[in-house]
Amino acid sequence: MEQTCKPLQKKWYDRVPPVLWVLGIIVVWFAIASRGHFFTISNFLNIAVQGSVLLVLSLGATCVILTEGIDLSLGSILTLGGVVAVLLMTRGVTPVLAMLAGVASGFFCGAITGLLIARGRLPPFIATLGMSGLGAGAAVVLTKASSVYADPAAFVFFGSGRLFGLLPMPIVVAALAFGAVYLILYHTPFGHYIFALGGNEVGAGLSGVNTAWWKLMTYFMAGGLGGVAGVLMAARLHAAEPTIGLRWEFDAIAATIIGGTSFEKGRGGIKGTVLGVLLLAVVRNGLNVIGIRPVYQALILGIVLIVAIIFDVVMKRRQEGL
Amino acid sequence: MEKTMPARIEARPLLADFVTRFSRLFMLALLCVFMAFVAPEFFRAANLLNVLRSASLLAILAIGQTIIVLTGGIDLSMGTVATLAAIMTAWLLDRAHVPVPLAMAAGLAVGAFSGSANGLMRAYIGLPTFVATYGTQWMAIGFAVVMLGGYNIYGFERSFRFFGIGRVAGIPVPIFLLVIVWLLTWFILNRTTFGRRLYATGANCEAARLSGIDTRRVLMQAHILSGLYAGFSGILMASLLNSGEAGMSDQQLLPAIAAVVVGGASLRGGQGGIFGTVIGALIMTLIGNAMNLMGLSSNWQSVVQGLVILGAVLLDQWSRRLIGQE
Repeated sequence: MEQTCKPLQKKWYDRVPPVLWVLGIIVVWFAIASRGHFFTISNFLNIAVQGSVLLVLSLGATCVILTEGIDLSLGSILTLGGVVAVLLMTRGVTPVLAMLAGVASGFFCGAITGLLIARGRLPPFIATLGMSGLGAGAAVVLTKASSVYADPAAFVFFGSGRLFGLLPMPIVVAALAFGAVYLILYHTPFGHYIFALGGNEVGAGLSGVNTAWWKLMTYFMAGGLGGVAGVLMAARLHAAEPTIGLRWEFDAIAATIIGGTSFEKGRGGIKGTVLGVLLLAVVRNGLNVIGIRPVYQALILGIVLIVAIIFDVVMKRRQEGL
Repeated sequence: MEKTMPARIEARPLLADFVTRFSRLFMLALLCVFMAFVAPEFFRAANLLNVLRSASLLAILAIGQTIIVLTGGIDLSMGTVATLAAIMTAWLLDRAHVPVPLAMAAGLAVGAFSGSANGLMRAYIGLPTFVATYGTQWMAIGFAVVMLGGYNIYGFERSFRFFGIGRVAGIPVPIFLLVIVWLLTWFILNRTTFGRRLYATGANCEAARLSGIDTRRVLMQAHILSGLYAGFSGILMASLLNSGEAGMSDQQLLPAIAAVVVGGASLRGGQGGIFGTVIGALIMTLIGNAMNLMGLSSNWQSVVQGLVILGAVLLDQWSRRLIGQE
């Protein structure tokens, strides 16, 4: 019997998030294979910029998954947000207002899915799948299925400018979004309710939490983040494309899961999600930098994803002593 | 009072079953009536057979998806696995000049193999299906692109094209194939021990395991079976389009899931059947056809599909509430 007792003090390597091991190995491999082209400050900034849109989107995905839900409409919301912002700009609306409208369109979509899920009691998978069709369709209809371009100075600055001539704006936006969600998640009642919804929804309801309302708020927030991601994406490209967000919801969910957030019991958090997003961004960037032919990139990305996730699950089991 | 209780408990699910089935058929009928007024050419035999043929490919994929949904999972890799199977078959036919039956068997084997990979990751490693199948999706895309090496494959021999565009007694072959798959799956799900175990595992995995079912094995078998269907659907697609190209069946994934959902299978597992799924696939295909006939721009397609998914499920919930379930 005594052999089953575990020491209370965990070894240091058991406290490191599993995804960090994978990330570390990959970074070292790229650093060696690229003969110095990968391991440079400018390339790291590149990776951060490339990952920033996905991070904003993934923050929303993580919050929804923490409530044991899922949001398949995030990719469409991203597309729609960019389309709304750019279209308004081409009609002569002030850039700032147009960008806010893009974000607002995300909040609007999120409110509808939230209503369908919390009030209409639809399963999240179905409600957000339906919204994904609506959002993607609305974007295609609004743009008449072709790309729309806009380049007012403020808009371009938002996508590719540098704050104080130093920090690229997408990174600043992603950092601000992370900070805001971090505050909400860990320092407000709303955040506690998000974890409670995932941990034990019935229990939370019985102890007086208005579960329907906070569920609605979670999807509302995720939708808003999707809108921000969409405007950011459009600002980087100086354009809105009607299918740009296709499959992005899956990337966001994958980043969340790789980061150690679980579909069950409200376990995980947004710090892991940052690592998950980094892993995806690093692999995509690194494969290009070391010159892997595009033909093989999807295959390698798939393998890395699966290995990272399996490693996460196996390490967690080990860490919990199961 | 106590004596009447069991009777009522038994009666309710039966009624609910009837209503859910009925609400789907009702939607289908409504669509047809609507078409009769808006675009009478919808009812020409040629158009109907065309719709049924495209619905067949979608329905076969959706039946495979239903099997996974019944176990309480979801398979995101089905579209790309179908593509990979199609490309494997096309490659063997075109580049290696393998006989048609062998090439098709290889395509099916690709489907079964991908399914077994999903099953392995889900049942034995313990990944959520969503994640496991997402990874498989990328791997399948990757293999497909590598096999094609940047070129598409066009033009197959006649005996292979028969499966996609052939007709027997004036009726397209895929419709017959769908009926065969449908009957076979119905038999497997409702008349075999495996089928019963599958429903039990989907409804409550822990309870099924405690009552002596090897749930891991059941899940593994379910994924292999559904992989076979994905492969089959992909092969038919290659035969129909007379080509093998990257991404040919990828867009079928979401309509297939939508068909399952519109068909009334519960995403929590253990509830639903393939009859609803076939109706769902019909509805999804009909909508596309209806929009074409009415001259609506295809831009509106996904808006309408989204509305139909939401509408069907809301209708279902409303009808259940009406008869006092839930």
